[in-house]
Amino acid sequence: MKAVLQIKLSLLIGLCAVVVVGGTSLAGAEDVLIKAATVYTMQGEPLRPGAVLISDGKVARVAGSIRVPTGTQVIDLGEGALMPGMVNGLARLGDKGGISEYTDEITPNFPVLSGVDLTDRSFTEAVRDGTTTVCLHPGNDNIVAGLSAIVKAAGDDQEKRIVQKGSGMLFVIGQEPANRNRSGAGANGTIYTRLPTTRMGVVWVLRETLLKAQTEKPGEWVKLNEALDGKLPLYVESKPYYDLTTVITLSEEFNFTPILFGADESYKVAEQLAAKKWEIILGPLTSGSGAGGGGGGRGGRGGGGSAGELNWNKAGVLHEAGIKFALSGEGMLEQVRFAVRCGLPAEAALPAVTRAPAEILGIEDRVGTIASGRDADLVALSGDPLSLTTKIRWVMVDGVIQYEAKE
Amino acid sequence: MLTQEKIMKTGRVLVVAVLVLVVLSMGPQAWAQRGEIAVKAGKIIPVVGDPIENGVILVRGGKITQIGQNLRIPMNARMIDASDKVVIPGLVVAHNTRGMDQENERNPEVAYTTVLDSVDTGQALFDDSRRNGITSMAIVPGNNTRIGGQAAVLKLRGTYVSDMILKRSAGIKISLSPVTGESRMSHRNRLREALKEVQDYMKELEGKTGAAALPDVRREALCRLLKGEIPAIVYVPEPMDVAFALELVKEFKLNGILVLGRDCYKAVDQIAQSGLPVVLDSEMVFWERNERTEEEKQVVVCQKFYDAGVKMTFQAGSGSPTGNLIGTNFMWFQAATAMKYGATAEEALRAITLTPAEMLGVDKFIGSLEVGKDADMAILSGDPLELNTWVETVIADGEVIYDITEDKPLQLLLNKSDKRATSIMNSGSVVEVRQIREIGGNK
Repeated sequence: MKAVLQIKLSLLIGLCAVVVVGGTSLAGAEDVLIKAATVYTMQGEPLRPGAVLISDGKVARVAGSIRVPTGTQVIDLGEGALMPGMVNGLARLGDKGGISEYTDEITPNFPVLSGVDLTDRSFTEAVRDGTTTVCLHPGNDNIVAGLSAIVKAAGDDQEKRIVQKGSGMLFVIGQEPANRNRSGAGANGTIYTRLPTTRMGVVWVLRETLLKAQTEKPGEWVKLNEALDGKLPLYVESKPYYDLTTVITLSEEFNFTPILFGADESYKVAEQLAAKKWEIILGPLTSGSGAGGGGGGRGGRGGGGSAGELNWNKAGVLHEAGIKFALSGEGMLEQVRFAVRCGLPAEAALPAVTRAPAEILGIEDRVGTIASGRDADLVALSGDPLSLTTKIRWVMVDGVIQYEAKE
Repeated sequence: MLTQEKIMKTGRVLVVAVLVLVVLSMGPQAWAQRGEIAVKAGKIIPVVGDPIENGVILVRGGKITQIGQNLRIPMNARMIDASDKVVIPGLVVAHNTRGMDQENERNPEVAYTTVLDSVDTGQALFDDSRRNGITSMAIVPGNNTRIGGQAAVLKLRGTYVSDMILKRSAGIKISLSPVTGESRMSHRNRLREALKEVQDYMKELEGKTGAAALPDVRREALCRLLKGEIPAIVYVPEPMDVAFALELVKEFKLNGILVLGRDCYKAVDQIAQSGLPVVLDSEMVFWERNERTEEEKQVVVCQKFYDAGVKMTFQAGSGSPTGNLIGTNFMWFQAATAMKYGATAEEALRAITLTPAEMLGVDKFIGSLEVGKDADMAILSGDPLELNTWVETVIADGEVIYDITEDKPLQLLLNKSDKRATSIMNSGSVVEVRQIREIGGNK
């Protein structure tokens, strides 16, 4: 009881400090020093205790302790912990007016950013969950869906929030692009007369496109060829294992190296994917195989069943196979906790939502770790990140506290 | 003649064989009847009273006979060695509307029906519940019938509903949520009318004697409701319904339990004043947006009720199609959430054990580990409400009803070459437990 009280007290004190200091740090570009009982730098062992000096929106120094330079504000997290802002590699936030163009399945030059409102509420929600960087993708209704983009989840200057425009080109290999051409799919396109209406059709259209790209090299498909040649990251969204095996087949035919997105059933083909050394941004742990397009007839006997085969330890399996992977989606801190509960080793947990996605997306020089020169994207926690009772205290993006929990 | 002799001979052999079998099988059955079990625990959290380090729980005939340190373990008792584990009471769920063939009756007033006629023990819910340490659960009619049927408290042991009943008429569901197309005005009027009609009927009966004084089968349950013998489990969907719910409870002197929609926290003071116990919505933490200013604020429902001193318990959500994996689908997660926002570990655990047992009027039997109560407990790999703690063994009425080492579905879910998962699997309370299970199976 006493211990609890003490912790509560120190929490309160810590929070007061945040309220006082955080408020002012919004105004000026002064240096800020953050002290915490534990700093998860994501580079080697965590610092216990640790200190992080922030200057001009960047991390200037990281050490066990730093002498307070004059004129520096100090945020002391007390018993709390500090970790890098999380990176969500598979996001579709701020969609305004559609991010799948329905008049064509092959839209390699369509940048998702032209359909996104960066001030949308969904970004605020992401920040509250501790996500500071998101990779936004075009919708998954097109086969060659378009160009993805990496942005910060918060910030006043929208231009500055963009980390990478056209960070990669997204292919969707699965049945999603076929669904909308089927009867009953609505008034999109000309139903019945248009390819594809099946998964076979999807693969055929993609194969035809890639052949044309590689043999004819049409001028308007320069970007597509860059992706195939490895000059631009090639993202492939694919969920069930049979789609993932199709990706393997196509990659051998057309000689490309994808980064896999979604990949709900990658645990079933983990060995093959590990042999290929492909990297994976795993879809939310709550999502099923994706094959059935949701629960279907739930509420019946036994429950589930139509949700496809389940594995609660997807992350643990990929880790054990030696695959570089990241978690994605909403509530990543909660997800990573449950991944650990179900088998992912604790030391592999935080990297899966910070350093790994940053490296997979090729933005590790900016985010994903706490190191000097990196963006000051930080999450302050009340304690051990892997405890169910740990709360997010505040979230900082580019040196500015963008969310603060109220007690 | 020969053949007859042969038959007689074989007959005699058979009789002997049967006798031998009976004698043999009597052994374990006698064990079961005496049912002496000793659970040796690294830590016992009885919920009532302080935790006991290195304690023992003695069980006979499905009841707890002794609990404490340095107890002499009877020679006959089967030992369950949990000396590096934590033992807590089996969890109790006060409001669950699943596990039935159809939870909502279409006729608007059906207090005479009972969930016992629609419980489907084959549903995954029951295995999921045992896997998460739940030993008792109130199955309550859904929220879409004005006066739904009668709830029942089930003990999660046995195969058939009839084996599982702890309390038959545990409550009658009254829903304040109008069905589609109906206005709240008419809904409330009809509800009041229905209760008034039974009230008048009861007055009529008062003058009568003998068989004539007994209520008819259709109104019998509602009569007991109005006498306060059966609790009224009132579903209150919106804050605007709180006042009416409290009025109704007062007017008809109901023994009320409020099942609250998530926004009802806005009437927390009114609810606190009434002193009625509540079941909170499964969504306990959410962000609320002001329609005009677009401003958002985080609402932590359990914290509001906790601060107001309301007697409360939680309910689990039904979750995503992947079944019970993350968060609010678990009772223990809900309790951990309460702890995250200010409740102590003791209070959080009480809210999913003794408090719901009290609300359902079965705290004489379940909800805590005390002498004389049912031997319902969960053996955990570590402290309760921690991320890496797993329920390893569940005991109800002194019978092992769940054993993680035999949980095939869980092994499949965690499987695929994971070494940690297998280590979780292998860490159960092995040999002795299996023996008890065999005995239990013979019953």
